[in-house]
Amino acid sequence: MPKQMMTDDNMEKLIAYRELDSSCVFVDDGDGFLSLTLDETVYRPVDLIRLLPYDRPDEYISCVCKEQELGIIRRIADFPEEQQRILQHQLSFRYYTPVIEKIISVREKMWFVFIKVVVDGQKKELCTRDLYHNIRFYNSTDLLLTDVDENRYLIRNFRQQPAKMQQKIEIYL
Amino acid sequence: MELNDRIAPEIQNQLEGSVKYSVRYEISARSAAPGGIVVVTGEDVFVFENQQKILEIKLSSIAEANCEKLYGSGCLKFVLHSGEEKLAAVFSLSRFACFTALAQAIEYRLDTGSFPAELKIEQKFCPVCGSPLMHGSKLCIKCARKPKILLRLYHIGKPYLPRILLVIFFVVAVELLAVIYPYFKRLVIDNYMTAENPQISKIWLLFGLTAGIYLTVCLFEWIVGYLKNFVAAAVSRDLREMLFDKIQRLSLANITKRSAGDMLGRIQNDTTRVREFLVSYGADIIVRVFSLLLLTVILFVTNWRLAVLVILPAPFMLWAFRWSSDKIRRKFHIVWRRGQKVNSLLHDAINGIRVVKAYGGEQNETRKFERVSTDYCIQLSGAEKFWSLVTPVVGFVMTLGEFLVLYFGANLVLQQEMQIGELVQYTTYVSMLYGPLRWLISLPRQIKQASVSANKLFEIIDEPEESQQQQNAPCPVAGDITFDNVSFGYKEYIPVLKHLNFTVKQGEMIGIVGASGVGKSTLINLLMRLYEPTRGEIRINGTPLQNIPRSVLRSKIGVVLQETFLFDGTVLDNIRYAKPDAPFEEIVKAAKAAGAHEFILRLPEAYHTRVGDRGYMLSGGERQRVAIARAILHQPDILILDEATSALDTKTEKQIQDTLGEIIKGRTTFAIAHRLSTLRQADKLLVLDKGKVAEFGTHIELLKNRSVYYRLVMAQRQTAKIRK
Ligand SMILES: Nc1ncnc2c1ncn2[C@@H]1O[C@H](COP(=O)(O)OP(=O)(O)OP(=O)(O)O)[C@@H](O)[C@H]1O
Ligand SMILES: [Mg+2]
Repeated sequence: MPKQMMTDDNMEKLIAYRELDSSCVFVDDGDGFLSLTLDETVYRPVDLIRLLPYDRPDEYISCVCKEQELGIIRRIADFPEEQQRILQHQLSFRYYTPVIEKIISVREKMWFVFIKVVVDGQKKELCTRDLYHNIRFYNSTDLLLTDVDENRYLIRNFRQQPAKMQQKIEIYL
Repeated sequence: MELNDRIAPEIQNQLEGSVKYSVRYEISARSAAPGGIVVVTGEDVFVFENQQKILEIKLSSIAEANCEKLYGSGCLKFVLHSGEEKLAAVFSLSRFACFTALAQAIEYRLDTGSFPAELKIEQKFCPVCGSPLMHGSKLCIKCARKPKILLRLYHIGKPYLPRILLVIFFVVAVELLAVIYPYFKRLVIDNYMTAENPQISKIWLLFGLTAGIYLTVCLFEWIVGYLKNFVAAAVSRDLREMLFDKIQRLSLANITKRSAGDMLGRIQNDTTRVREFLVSYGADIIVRVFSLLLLTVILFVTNWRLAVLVILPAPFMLWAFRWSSDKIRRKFHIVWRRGQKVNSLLHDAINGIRVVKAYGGEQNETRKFERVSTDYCIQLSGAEKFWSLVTPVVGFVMTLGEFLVLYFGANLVLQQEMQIGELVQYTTYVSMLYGPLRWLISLPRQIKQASVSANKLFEIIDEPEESQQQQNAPCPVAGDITFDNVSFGYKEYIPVLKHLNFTVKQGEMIGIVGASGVGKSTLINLLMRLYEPTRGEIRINGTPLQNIPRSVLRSKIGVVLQETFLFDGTVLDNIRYAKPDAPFEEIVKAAKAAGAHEFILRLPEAYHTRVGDRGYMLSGGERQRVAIARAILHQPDILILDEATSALDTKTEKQIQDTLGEIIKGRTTFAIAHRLSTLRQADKLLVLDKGKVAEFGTHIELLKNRSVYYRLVMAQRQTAKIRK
């Protein structure tokens, strides 16, 4: 970068991003899209992208409209309740991740691992290719499992699960 | 596969017109409903949730149908002609392939006015048994496990038939000797070594017999081992060659759907596994199994009560063996995984040593390495401990039957119901039975694994090749090049190029500009027919590209790719790669034209300097110049320069351009460059934006347009100013 551009002011301007606080208003348009009013302009559709999906799912959320970043939400919890609900709803389907309640069995067959689980109260058989690469800690307590279709599943509080369940997964970690 | 999910009668009632497609989804973005269904009729798209119509769009108002992968889900969106976006559905990624096919069918309909006759849906599960398929492959491990495929291996082994027969002959001989030997032993013992009839001299007979048979068996085993290894190595070599040859002839689309690692794995590991299988379970598999059966029969005939004792602990033994080998395998698998971690860390730290040092990360790396290495050590010693403890115990259990036989057999001898020699013979047979039993237990797994490996090999061997047309009429590759409504995507659901329409006159130089990732190199790939357009047609001189044999096409195209790749070999080899018989004078001329001659002179061994992976490190710009020389050496009709001079300073670039300018006269040239000054000689510029042709015309025309190109030029001038 040329010298004269490195002055602090310039630098600040170049790398600044807008922090969105509770003064901006998100509206659920009811058709699956979100719109955001910012400086009296309405942006639509707005995509919400978690910048740190694993560590901080509810903080640092980038709002993007037509490939342009409008700003970053520092913390969802700072917003009024109704706004929080709208944001969480939007996030819930982009970051759709069913929770595995119970692992029934783990069976290896050549390159695939078949895992019988209970998800949302229903029995289901997941299939992953090479569990070693497709299961890992999502944060310090939860496990994330990716199946052949790239669907993601969550195992909450893995260390608190029954020992049997832990054993079945342990060797892949 | 069809896109016809069941439609509830309540919904059916609300539809007019016949249903073309219906696809369910499971995530509702709009209501609390557990998903819904997207229905496409001849004229409209409908979305229903909870039997309620929540969206209705006329197909005629749709401009684009896009399928997007989100984080844990996918979505189908429509862009209308008005520019408005509509969300049709959000779905789990299991449904992604279906929705991609749906989006494509709709786009097809928008382009052509009718729906496609056939849908292309990426198969992730075996249509026969429903098990998952290997990545980018049609191979089902479950259906493929049929060992029938191993017979194909014997097919490949046909040229080695005499050797295989020899193997079988010697194996039979060995087995026979092994069965006969205990019998002789018994005869000698019972006849000459009893208390009543001691004949010391006959000990020599026993000794000679044993030594003789032993030596013969040794010799035969050696011959068998030698022949088997030879045949197995030859078969796996043939396989490897078939595979390599095949991969060279596959189309790029077929090659890139698998990773390079997978391909290497198949060529190296799978052929090795097949070879190992052939060595340990080769043609003699039947003989061995047969001799096991024979032994069992002999045991029963000789003394059925003792035989029962032999068989009795067998299930227990099987279980012990299975259990221990599973456990051991698991433990060593974990060790292997930890070893891999150590390796990849090493690999990173050594390859990235410059970065490590530049950022002072040495201590950090050392600490990381220590942690991983200690973990490896712990796992390894744990596994070894287990192994050294369990193996003898299991070995003991495995021979339990022998002890039983010995005990009860000795009793029989003392009660004079059995002769001592007979017992010796019997116990020998028993131990002969137990040895191969281990081998037999692991047989199914081995067959399974070998047949999967063989399958993976044959899958590639059976893959359809790049279609090769026979060369009928001479196809002039020179001429105008037309892109007629060409669309393309590497993955069908991510279109890269959309509806390209333009014509390039023969001899013109076309500059292609556009943002990084817009699809410039992709356009070139289509022109070289490395990939086929998903829709539309490219024509040269009116002849569709498909009708020009690839060999003819490529012999007329000279190309400098964005990633300059040099083979392991000399500079000379690299330049004349496309024209191995070129006289040296021509090579020098080409090198001079490419501005390469000057720096080659300075290399220690000039044209004989070894470059490539393990050779002399050429700089980025030097590589590019070698590649340019390679491209112009065979005097192509069409020259493609993809960022061919990007790594050169502007002065050198200018020099090369001046000479190149002479060379490309009369040849159609496509030049891609980010540095717009590179393209100043271009007759016309093709500006790509968002996968479409944004502008096409001369430099002056485009500047007048004051659109994309104008902005690019202005932006580059700005930075140029700042640089000064
Ligand atoms: N083999 C491939 N498989 C899948 N996607 C690919 C492949 N090659 C390129 N792409 C994708 O296609 C798009 C266009 O790539 P392309 O190489 O044509 O860009 P480009 O215009 O040449 O960019 P650049 O100026 O950086 O060279 C990119 O988004 C890229 O990620
Ligand atoms: Mg490129």
